Amino acid sequence: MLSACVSSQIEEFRHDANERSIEAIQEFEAVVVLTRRTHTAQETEKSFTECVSRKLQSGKKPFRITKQAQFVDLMFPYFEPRLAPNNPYEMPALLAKPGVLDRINDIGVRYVIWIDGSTETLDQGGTMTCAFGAAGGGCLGITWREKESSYEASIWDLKRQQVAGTISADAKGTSYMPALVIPIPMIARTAKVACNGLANQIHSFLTEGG
Amino acid sequence: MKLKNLSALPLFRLGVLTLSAAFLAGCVNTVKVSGRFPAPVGEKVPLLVGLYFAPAFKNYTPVEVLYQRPKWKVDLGTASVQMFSQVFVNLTDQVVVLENKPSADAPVDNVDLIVVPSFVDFGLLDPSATPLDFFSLSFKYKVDVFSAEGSLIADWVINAYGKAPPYALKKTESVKEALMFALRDAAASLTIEFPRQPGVIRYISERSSSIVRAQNQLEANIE
Repeated sequence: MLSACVSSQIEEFRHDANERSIEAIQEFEAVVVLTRRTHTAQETEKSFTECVSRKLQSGKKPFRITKQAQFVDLMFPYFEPRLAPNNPYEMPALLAKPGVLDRINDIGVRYVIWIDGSTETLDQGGTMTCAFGAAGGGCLGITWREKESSYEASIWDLKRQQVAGTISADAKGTSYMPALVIPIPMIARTAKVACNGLANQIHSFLTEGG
Repeated sequence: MKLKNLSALPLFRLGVLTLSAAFLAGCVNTVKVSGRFPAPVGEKVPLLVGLYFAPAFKNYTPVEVLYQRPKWKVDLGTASVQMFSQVFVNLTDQVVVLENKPSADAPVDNVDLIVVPSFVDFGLLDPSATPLDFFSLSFKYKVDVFSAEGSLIADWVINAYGKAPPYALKKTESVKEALMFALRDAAASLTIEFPRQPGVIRYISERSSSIVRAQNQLEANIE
């Protein structure tokens, strides 16, 4: 299987209401990557959040990652879709609830990374005809599919109780499948490119500080 | 008459369509789940709670009939009994499951409050029959809280909602996942809303006051 071309764009926005520098993550501090679960139609794919978690956990300076399911269970019911904080302004009220801050300190999570976005098919077309008989068979034609992966990571600092920054990743590409007897798929892995770009940027954001 | 000629007849086509629809409508997918509901953050509510599950609640198995689609039968009663039991074990000091419904004639000993849930509504949306890209499941509970003597002290409605993407050739898994999310949603609501009910707050406050009064009386007697 061949890969088709994917173009991507990563944007970073550092945020500190009091204009303090972002603190670099310490070895003992953990990170949790959460899917923004809503009751509306579109929802981030579980596989994408897992991909970002995996990337942050690997490499030269791997982060301590708390698994999403474990974190949501330990913080029950405050990170269920109905009750999860939607914006950083709700964070102080959440942390003030009995037992919440103690539980977060026990888990050791410093940064919560909310992932929002999805991969969508923008357009598709082409034709392909396949025929098989006693003497053999084959296909003729070409099909294509244009996809766009657009994701945003909002990094919340639980120690400072505010948003540390926002990173967005957009990847666009077209997959082709030409067929001259045998179909040859050339897949544009937009979600994988967006995941790698987002994870790398989150990693440098949290390790470099500044 | 040859099959080729037969298929051209409108009556034959209608017959095939009707048979297909009847065949599909005859299929029933049954969904059963067994979940785990975590302990909530924070302190337990200082109450000994009795849970009464009516037979209609325990055996509640709604069937969602979709036009020309297989039916969905969801074993919601068993899953809900499990959810209510686990939530109250995690939320309160002690829980007992009652065999009989509390009443003024037959008050229950050794419990503070009695919780009696019932179903109000159930709905399931199949993406093959809707414009949605996912399975969507929702239901409502009505929760009644009685005193040990059988008088109603609180009642409210809990909405539960869950959704899951359609997995290829595994539609039952999708409905199971949506059901588990909906039960977790209900568990979260129940955990938050039970201690906030005015009747429950009043009961705890009055009981605390009576304990303080009794302690003061005891100390006064000793002196």
